[in-house]
Amino acid sequence: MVHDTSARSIPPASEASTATRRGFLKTAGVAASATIASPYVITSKALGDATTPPASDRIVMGGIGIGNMGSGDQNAFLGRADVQYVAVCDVRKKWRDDGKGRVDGKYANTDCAAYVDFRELLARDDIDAVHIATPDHWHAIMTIAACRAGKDVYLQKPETLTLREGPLMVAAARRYGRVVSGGSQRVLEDYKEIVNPCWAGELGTIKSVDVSVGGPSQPCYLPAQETPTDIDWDLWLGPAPWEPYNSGRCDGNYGTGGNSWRSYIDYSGGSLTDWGAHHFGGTIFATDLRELQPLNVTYHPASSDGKEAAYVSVAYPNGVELHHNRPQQLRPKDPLVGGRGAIQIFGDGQRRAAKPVPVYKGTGGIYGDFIECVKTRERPFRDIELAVNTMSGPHMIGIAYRLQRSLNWDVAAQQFTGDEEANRLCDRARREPWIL
Amino acid sequence: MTVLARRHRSTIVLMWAVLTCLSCGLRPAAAADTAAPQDAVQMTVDFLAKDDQAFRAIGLDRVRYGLKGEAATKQFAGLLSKLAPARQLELTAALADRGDRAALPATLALLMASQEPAVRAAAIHAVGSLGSGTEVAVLKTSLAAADPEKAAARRALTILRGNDVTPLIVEAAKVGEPGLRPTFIDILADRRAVSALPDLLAAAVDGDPAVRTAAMRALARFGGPEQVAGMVQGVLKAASGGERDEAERSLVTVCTQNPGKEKAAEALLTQFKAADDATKETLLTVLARVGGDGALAIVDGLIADANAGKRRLGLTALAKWPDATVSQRLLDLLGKSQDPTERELLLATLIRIAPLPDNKLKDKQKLELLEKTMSLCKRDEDRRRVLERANAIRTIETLRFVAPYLDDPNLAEPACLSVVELAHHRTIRDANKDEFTKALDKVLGTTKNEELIERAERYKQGQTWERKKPAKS
Amino acid sequence: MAYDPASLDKPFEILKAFDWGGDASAFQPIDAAVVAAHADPAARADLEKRLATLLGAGTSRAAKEYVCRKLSLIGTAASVPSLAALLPEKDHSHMARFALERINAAEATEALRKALGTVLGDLKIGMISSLAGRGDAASVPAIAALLSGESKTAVAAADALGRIHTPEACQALAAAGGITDKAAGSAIADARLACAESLLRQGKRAEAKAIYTSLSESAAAGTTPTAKATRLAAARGILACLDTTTTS
Repeated sequence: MVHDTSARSIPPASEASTATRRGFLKTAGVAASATIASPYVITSKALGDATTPPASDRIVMGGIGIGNMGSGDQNAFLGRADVQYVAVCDVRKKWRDDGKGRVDGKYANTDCAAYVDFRELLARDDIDAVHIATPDHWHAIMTIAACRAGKDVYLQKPETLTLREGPLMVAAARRYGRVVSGGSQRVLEDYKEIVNPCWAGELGTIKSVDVSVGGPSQPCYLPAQETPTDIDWDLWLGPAPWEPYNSGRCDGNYGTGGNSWRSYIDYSGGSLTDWGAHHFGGTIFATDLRELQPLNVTYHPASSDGKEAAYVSVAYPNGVELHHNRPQQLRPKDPLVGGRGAIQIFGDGQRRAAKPVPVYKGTGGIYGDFIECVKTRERPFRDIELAVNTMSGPHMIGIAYRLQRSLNWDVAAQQFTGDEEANRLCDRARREPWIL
Repeated sequence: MTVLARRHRSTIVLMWAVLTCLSCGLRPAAAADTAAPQDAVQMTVDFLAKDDQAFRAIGLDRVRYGLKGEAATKQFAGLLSKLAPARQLELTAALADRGDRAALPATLALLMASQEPAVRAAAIHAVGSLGSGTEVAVLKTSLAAADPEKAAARRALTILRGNDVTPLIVEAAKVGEPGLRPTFIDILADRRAVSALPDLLAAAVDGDPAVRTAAMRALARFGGPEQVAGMVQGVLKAASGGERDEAERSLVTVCTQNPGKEKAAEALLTQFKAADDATKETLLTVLARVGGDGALAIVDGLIADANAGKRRLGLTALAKWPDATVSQRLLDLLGKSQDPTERELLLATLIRIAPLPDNKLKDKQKLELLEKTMSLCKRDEDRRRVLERANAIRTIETLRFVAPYLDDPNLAEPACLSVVELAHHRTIRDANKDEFTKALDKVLGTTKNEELIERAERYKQGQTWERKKPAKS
Repeated sequence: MAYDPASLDKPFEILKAFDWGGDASAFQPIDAAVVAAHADPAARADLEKRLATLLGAGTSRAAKEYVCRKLSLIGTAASVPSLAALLPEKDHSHMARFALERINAAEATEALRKALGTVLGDLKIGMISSLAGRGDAASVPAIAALLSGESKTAVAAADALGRIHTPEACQALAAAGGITDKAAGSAIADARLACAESLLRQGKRAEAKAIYTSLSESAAAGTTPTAKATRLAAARGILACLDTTTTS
């Protein structure tokens, strides 16, 4: 049943069959295997019942990257009555098989197609939407390809790996009118104790916020190991520089201190963008900065006595400053007006007019929000443009740490002012044959 | 201009600019010099009439984010009465997002005319987005309907803007339809209507228990030190049982979680000290749930009292303590007490507080306390609770404490639960892979609980497991 | 701290034979020197020279990769010849581009253009990608000539022209006739949409609308999902062109 293929060059969507968009009933399983020979029969399930919409009203989905986060996302979509899940894609056989197993188990059949190469999945006309939970170095290429193939996208955070990718992803979404939702469920759900008072105007004008989260990613020098047979290593690397296989290089665990792809610069921005997508995301949402990007990035060197580590601050056009890991002793004592754990908010405390807090559409959290928007064609809670803006701050902070100096960002030009080296770090060449 | 600078100007800038151009992005478009061109409006209208949803989406996108101006808004809104219900629904949603009040009359008319609940709900939402205090009356009426209109009306009243809105909702909460008064209070809470705090305090002692409960719940959301005295009255007014318990929790929230919690706790202590004996007895549980040195002194005094009733009150209060700061006291009392009922209470309290995440102890100390508590347990029932509580201390040492009990048939099940809960946390699991694999294997060979088996297998394979959340309304 | 070239002798020596799994901390002084060289042109030039020297024979693949990463930050025209020499080499071509794509010098562009004409297959796509990344208008004719070639290369060429989207690039895309490869045709349509967007941004509504209209008409007969996607995108674009109330 598993449709493994080593082919790299596959027909894009345009060469696929001309079946109708909702034609999954006719084609489901066919892409997965030629072994399905029985004629298609309309089942009662396909027609729907009291709790399940008819198949023609369900959103047909596939998943790309079905590991740790991907399997969670898959379960969330698979559990919805308004989703028909038809395909999984992963470069690792185990994740792929597990993902297919979950789908087949849910529907009590063997119809779920399994792909190694995401382009094959995107080439299917019957798929309406995909969720993507690969390492970050794949996000932009896959999202743009999905938009071009007419798919809506639920994309795990952090949505971008470089500053330059963001505008291209937004452009693709807008060009093709696709719903592209970022995937930080925590932004709305886990930060209510700061979001609600901020939007209610109770904390007054926010002056600054201290955010404590790990730092940027590091180079990876892990030794070569024999490449296991159950992973397509070249495809795992994709646009990233070629490096030898090492299980620690590609492990999907959530650590950022080594032995996980989240630790390394070719695949991730490190904790700064990984957990940062949550902590900065929550902060930026709470303080309503989602439509803005920072103007100034200030690098504060470590103190000469070593007591205070270096830290970086970003300032937004409305004057709000976010400090990344500012040492506690350097933070003002007053007026601290709110916070939760790793986030401390300073403001003037003078009550301002309240604004209604944006909420998810539909039901079922951020997944339900995405599905609802796929149906209505509205923009989701974490619309890709907001996600790109959100992640711009952590990316700039990472660049400032790398260069150990302050920077200025020209939002309109999407480049740093007067710092050529910083601009060089806005993007990176992709390994052939991948092109953004 | 350098090569790189040219590169940025020629590529990135233009790509970024697409956001504000192609579909007008999320940024407000520049103020229109002129009215929206009629050919563009007409093209949009044509798209809205298409059968193909993909084409309609183009029109709806333009309604939401483009073609600025009141004239265009009126043209779009004017279509509402001519469309089929499904199309009415999507255009109404788009007009709500467009945010131009010029669409309000048409959405109100739709609300009056449509027989379709979903369309009416969409119209109600639009009224909430576009309206002001003038629309409170119509939304109040919708609140009395069934879902989805009721839910839409509640959200609409929450997002409705204007200085006159909150006073009107306050009025409804005071003298509105009795069955809806709690809902209006919930709406005030959702609006975080600080100006309504005095009214909420008044509602906290209302004659209607549902109103009182809603008011106390609202005060818990954003009440502060200034509301403590009034909330105390709410607690006293609440009928004993479920209502009293919920009222107490609301007051505790204000004193332990909300901004100004320290001052709120002080205010509670002041209220307590000034109260008569009967009131003190009622408030003692709240005081204990808040904790703190001042409250502890009072509780200590009661426990030390020669009067058995007062001592019982003190011990019951101590059992409610919110952190492990009283652990030594509990151990001392356990050492001295011979009363089985007292000992049971003290032990249960120790088991509860030892691993509390908000206490002042470090993980190592928490585990030591729990181990000591385990040594004091004489019944398997208590030992099981100790093992279940242990997983709140997320260290490898906890695994080492729990793992031996996997071999005890009487205690294996809670031990399995704790091993699996500890394994849920990847940082500990990955750093101690071998130990966890061994323990999880033992879990798999022991438990019959299907969920634990599934989780153990997932963790062994390096996968995550999503905790099922309770269904939300 | 002042630049001390002698202090880097040993790290450079270790680096030359470095392989993955080795002790990377041994050449961390080079990392620090590269960052510090921002304020010291002489140090930067010296570092660049020493790094570029390692790109020749006798240096491990891992070390060359490291060098390319460093040159991507501080490289200038001076290191272009050493990097350019790696462009035809399968194992090193990407990392050479990793540096060259970022180097702010006409020589870097020239090296990529030259390689575009000589390398084949995926390596050629790599050159296309990097020239697009640099927004190199002068390479438009060479890239446009690839539109009618092999499918994967033609797709990359179209993508690149869309990224460059100068008037010449847009013209080349519009003039691409007789493309029978569906993937290439789809990529050309996408690139033309990008061109129209750039015109719209510049306020050239009529020119943008002309592209959208052309795309809409040419896709009108198509029944594939791609044709429909193009039609929809073009319709969206035409509407955007007509909507003068929005920012442009």
